[in-house]
Amino acid sequence: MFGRSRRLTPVVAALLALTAVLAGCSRVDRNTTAATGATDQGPATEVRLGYFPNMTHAPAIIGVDKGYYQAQLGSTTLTTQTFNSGTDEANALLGGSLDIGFIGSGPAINAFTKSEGKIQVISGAVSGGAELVVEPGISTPDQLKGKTIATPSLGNTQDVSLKKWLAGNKLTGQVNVANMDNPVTFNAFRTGSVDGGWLPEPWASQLVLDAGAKVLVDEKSLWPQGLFPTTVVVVRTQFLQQHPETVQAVLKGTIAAIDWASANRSAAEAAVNDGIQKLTHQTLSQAVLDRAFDEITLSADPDSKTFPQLAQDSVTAGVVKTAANLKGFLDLRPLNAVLSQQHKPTIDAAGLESQ
Amino acid sequence: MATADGNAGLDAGIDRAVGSGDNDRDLRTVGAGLDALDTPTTTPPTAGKRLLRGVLPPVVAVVLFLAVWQILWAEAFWPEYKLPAPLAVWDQFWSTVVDGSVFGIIWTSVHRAVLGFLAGLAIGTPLGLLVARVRVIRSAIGPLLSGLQSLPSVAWVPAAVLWFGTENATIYLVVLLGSVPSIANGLVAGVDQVQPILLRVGKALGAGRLATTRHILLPAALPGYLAGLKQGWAFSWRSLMAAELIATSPQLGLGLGAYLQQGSSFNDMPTVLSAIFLILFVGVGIDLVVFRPLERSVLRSRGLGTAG
Repeated sequence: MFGRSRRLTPVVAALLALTAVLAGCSRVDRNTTAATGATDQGPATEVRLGYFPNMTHAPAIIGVDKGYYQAQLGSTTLTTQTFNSGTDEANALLGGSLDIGFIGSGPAINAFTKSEGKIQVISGAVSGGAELVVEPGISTPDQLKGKTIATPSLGNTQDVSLKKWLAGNKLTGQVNVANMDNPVTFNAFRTGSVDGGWLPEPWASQLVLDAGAKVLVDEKSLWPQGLFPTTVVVVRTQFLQQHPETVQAVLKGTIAAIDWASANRSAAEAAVNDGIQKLTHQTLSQAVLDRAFDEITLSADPDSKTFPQLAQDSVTAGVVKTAANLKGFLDLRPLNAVLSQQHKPTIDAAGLESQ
Repeated sequence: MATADGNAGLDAGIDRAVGSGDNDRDLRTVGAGLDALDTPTTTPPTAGKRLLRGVLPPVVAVVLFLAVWQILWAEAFWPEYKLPAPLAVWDQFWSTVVDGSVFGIIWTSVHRAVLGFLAGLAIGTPLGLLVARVRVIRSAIGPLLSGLQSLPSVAWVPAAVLWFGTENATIYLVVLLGSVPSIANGLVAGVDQVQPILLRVGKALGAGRLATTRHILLPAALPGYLAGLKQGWAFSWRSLMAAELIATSPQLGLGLGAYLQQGSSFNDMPTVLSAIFLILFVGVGIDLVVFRPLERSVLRSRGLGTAG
């Protein structure tokens, strides 16, 4: 009798487990608006801001180093963190260790999709500023077969652009794509480990002017009117709901940085150079800074119309399997509130807002 | 009073030697009692029962684990990108099976681990012998070897990348630095635990240094050496994953570590989890298929194995 109950216990346990599994086949929906329960709690005690040490993140670098954020944030502490590329920053946003981030459009779409709408774009920052630069011997796409091209990271904005362009030129699988941190690409190009890169500014200009690379593709030529969002500002929706005042303060700081940089070009270049030097221990020459600044357009407009195409590009590049549904991707209300206060034209979300 | 059939001869012998009488009955009783102690009381389990006993508990444990996971997912305590459903992870794994990429991924990692481990074996064994037998070398590098064993191999990856770039040499260096200290230390421990009388017997029989090593020392140190090999394999596998996770490049191909890093780059939890499970299963699988039978046969030949 004792032996029989001992044999029966694991079988009973397995049966219980099976019934539990069958009962757990559908997922409870906790997304009811009542359940989110995020109400305005006033200004935050701390805001964690992420950005990259790139010219394409000039508003963030200038805003932090020149104190535009601190001026607007008052008693809120600003904690900054820098990343090489958007895939790491997206992980930090998803993991909840960042509140606001300057990020590329590709990882922004990815973060929105994975978080099921809990990370949204609230502003643009920089448009343009990415090119495919290669060694001088390459002049046609076909000559890239068998070569190695660098991008900042697997699945980031430039990586998606490169893979989409390769697919359009029927070169998928015939070109090696190497992922490396931007400051490292320069040496890799000079020693010949890579034959080029699809890089953001100022690294593309650095390769062109200091290492003799040539531009094979300027990404502006691939978009209507040459406008495509290289950098946008994203926020965790819960943070936006709990501390809208803090988010508006960051937006005000960003717009102030953009306005100042547009009006004081050489000082802006020097500020970005200082910022990059502090973060990467690399100083860039004046010629590189000038060229990089020429390539970018500073604007709070996130070029909303381009996002559906960018979502499709992520599929072409193999980052995601299906194109994301971008309803609710943008929330430009805080930005438009700030712009209206400053008597500037508001920005259209091209139908991607949640209402 | 049970008497095993095979001991009828013993009783007959006692009868002849002792004769009959009270003393003889006592002796026979004692003999019967000793026989009873030596007789196995249970029949050895059939192969079927052994299989069931070995397979059923882990299967039930896995099913319970999956059930708890499924319930946690169904209750939506965490968003989908933090805790996907078991089925999502399975789908991701199955898609790599369907397009055949899983075999390439596993082969890339396993062949690098095996080659690195074999190289570690070739270097660690003579090194361990030297450290164990030559006192000067032991005092010189013995502590260093122990220290290297506790140094996580992931610490070597940045140095290796700077030395060799993101090439295969980097991976092999990290795997070697993970496995050699373990194997050498295992051999040293095994040699240290050889009973000195065995060495004296060898010397008495006229064995020189080489013959002692070959015929007495190495066979006697085998259990400790095998333990070192098992640990060396575990460290090789772990170092390989660390190196593959950090050093990714087209030249290195797609191993399990790079597949895991890919999942992280795409912010895709099902890929990350399926990579983790694959790493776990391949590591455990090789341990079960290669090291467990080896260990069991060595222990059994020394009389140290468990019955049945």
